[in-house]
Amino acid sequence: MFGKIIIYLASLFWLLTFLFYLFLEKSNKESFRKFANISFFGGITAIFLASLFLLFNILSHNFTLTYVWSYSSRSLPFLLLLSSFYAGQEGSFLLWALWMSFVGFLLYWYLKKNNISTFPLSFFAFTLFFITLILIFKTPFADLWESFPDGNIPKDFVPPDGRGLNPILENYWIAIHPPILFLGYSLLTVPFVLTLASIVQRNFENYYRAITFWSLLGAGILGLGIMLGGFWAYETLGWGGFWGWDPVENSSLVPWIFVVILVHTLLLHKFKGGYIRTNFVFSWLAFLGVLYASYLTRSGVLSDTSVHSFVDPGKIVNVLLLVFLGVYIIFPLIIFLLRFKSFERKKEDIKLPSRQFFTLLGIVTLVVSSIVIIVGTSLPIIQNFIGAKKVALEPSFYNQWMLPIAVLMLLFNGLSLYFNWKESDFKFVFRSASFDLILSILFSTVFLFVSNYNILFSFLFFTGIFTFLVNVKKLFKKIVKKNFRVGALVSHLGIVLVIVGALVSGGFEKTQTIHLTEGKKSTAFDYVFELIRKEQIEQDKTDREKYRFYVKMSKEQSNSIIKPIVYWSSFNNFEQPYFEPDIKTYLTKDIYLAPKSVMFNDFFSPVSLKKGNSSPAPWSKEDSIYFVSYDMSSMHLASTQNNFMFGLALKYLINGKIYNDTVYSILNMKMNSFSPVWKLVPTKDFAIGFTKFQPAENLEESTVELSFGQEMLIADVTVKPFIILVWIGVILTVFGFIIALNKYKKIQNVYQ
Amino acid sequence: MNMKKYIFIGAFALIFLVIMLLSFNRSTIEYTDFETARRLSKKVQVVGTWAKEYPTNYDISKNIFEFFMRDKKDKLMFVRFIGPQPNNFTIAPEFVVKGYIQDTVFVASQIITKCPSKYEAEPESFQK
Repeated sequence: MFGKIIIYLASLFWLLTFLFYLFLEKSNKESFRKFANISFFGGITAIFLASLFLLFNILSHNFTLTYVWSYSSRSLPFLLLLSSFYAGQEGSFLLWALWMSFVGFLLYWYLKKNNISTFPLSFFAFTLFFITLILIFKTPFADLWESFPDGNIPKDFVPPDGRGLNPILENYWIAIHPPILFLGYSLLTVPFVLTLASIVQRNFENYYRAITFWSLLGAGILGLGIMLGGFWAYETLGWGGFWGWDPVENSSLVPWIFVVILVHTLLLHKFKGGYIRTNFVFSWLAFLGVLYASYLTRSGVLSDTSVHSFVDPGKIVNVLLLVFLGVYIIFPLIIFLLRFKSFERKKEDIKLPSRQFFTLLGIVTLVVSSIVIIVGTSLPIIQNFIGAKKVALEPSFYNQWMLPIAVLMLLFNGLSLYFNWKESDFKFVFRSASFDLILSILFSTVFLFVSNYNILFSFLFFTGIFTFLVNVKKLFKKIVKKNFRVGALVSHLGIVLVIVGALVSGGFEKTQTIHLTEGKKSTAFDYVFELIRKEQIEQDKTDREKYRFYVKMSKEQSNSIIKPIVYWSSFNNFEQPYFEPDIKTYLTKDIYLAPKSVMFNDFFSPVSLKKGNSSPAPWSKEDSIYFVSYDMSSMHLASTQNNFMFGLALKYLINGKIYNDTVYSILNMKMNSFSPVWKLVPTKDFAIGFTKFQPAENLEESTVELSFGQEMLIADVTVKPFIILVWIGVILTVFGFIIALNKYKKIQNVYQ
Repeated sequence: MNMKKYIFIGAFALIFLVIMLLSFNRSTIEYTDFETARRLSKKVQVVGTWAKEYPTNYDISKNIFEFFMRDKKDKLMFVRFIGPQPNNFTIAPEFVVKGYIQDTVFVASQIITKCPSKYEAEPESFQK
């Protein structure tokens, strides 16, 4: 109850904040300021309390709350319990509100400190009002009996344990990637509300530096968040790469591209004046991109086409999100049209070879790339809308488009650095460029041969090297002169490395499949792989069976151990294994070992038994297996309706010693299938599986079949050349934004 | 001058749009059935179920997994998948194969299994 009330309060506070700051602006009555500030901090406090309350419920395992029951469990360690906060939709909206409140607080402080009007807080509060509105309908504070009205659940019912997190999320990355991404999203609200306020007040200059500061901050943080997701996918999820043009990845990239365009159009304003309407449009698009991303990922429209699993949130929230989007398209558009004439475009000719010209061309490439991504990502929605036949889009669509766009983008960046903002002497420029050009042509010619005459790749390589050289030269010159305003150069260097790294590691990767069983060798790319042993890890957790495989990888004299992980979890009733890859990183390449499947090779003929009978063991006449009884005590472990954990209590006699054990199989009533949970036979290196059940009149007469075999791990070995460039590039890109930020920290030196 | 500029921009946008539509056609794969897949003879995706009364086979040396499946129209098809048997293969109620038909065989480059998701709550599951 407390949680719900506080959300209602928060919503009210944010609505009031919006209205009061608006009245203050309209009437200029200072008395409104007090009310506005009170409701502003009231809203922040309410969101903060709601978050604290949810966290408290998660940490104290209050499973009467549907949300806590759905996404956490007693066995989760502290860090993952924290992540349960935003593992579901309801919580992720709350996290968004929490970050927005935090950013709002910083923005308030920033505006006060720099003596800028607090009017933008009005629009900022309106966004929070909308998010809290969604939280009212999609609340993390619903009790079980409310969530399942048909379930006849007593009001005081507390389930013994929660369902826990999806095991693929049980990783420290979930504590890092989503919060940073959401912080990035929240930060993108600020440039938008600032520009919106500036055009309402017809005073762009007043806000220009503030907009730049927050755009740089947002671009840096969001960029970091996106790429950390990519690294997570690569390093632990075993998706094979860091980027797959998945709709969810795309929808986070689009707002980033827009904010990056904004950073450039702000630069045009700085050096040339004007471009106010352009700046407005791109700050607006960046924010709309965030809303669109949250609509795409949460509305369930992508559930068929995306690897990220999302569930339809229900009609009300879906409609609310659309209304949210609609309001933010229509109202800013009206304001924009009303003010259109107030910001007349500066009449001036752009000199053809100037930095301004190339920056504009660069912006065009970014715009084109964003259109390609938006159209591709929205395809399921477009198909839904026009009722066309559903088709899936291959990642090749994006690759085909992005490659030539990237060639031009890099080229324009490289060229722009030779020119001044106004105009430069062509002869002089040509002289200084010739060295870089010759060197890049040389390198890319070599590349042309290496890449088997891939012309487009060589073009990209050429512009990559060229832009790299130009940026490095410029960077060096600046640092020698003790000029440390090098953010742009560092970021562009980073982007070059990301793009070239993506091209080389993705375009020239090679994959071979290996089969790992103990005692046998398997070869891929001149490497010999050998399964040394496997070790069960996290044995204290009863909800999983997790194994680390030690695979020896050897080539000539050098040996190393590579350790992929295979595990089964109660989350899916031990039905299918989960995999984690392992990577050997070298300077020039990564060797990526991703498990694909676990199979069993039958070693001996199966043994059929009835309850209470025994049989000689197939591996030795001296040993025997005795089928003691059926064990149904683990039936409850299977929590979907059609699955049952079917157990057999066994007694082995091996080398004169007795071992007790229980083997399980998962019976799926609907599919009528039987999936054994393989288990090592005591003291042996092969496993036993309960593979068949032949029912008779009663259990006593029924027969079970036990099979024996050795586990075989099938894995893909992929060599990814120079993928390290991507990571270095990302770090440089983000670092560049931070350097650039430094310049805009203080607003006082505006007109210096 | 101004008119000229708009014509230029318009033409540029038009060309862009046309190229985009063309590349769409090349990069999209239809959801269809085996009969249509045979006629189209290009890469498609087919939804269906495993025909478990027929044997399956995994060839270790070639890394090829072969099985029979039925599409939604109940047409039986022999499928050759380049890769190992997916681990949830036997329990998936249905799955999607991506690939094309070569003579009488559907050569699949990808099998996407749809799993009975535990992610959405069912009230029965905590009442036990």
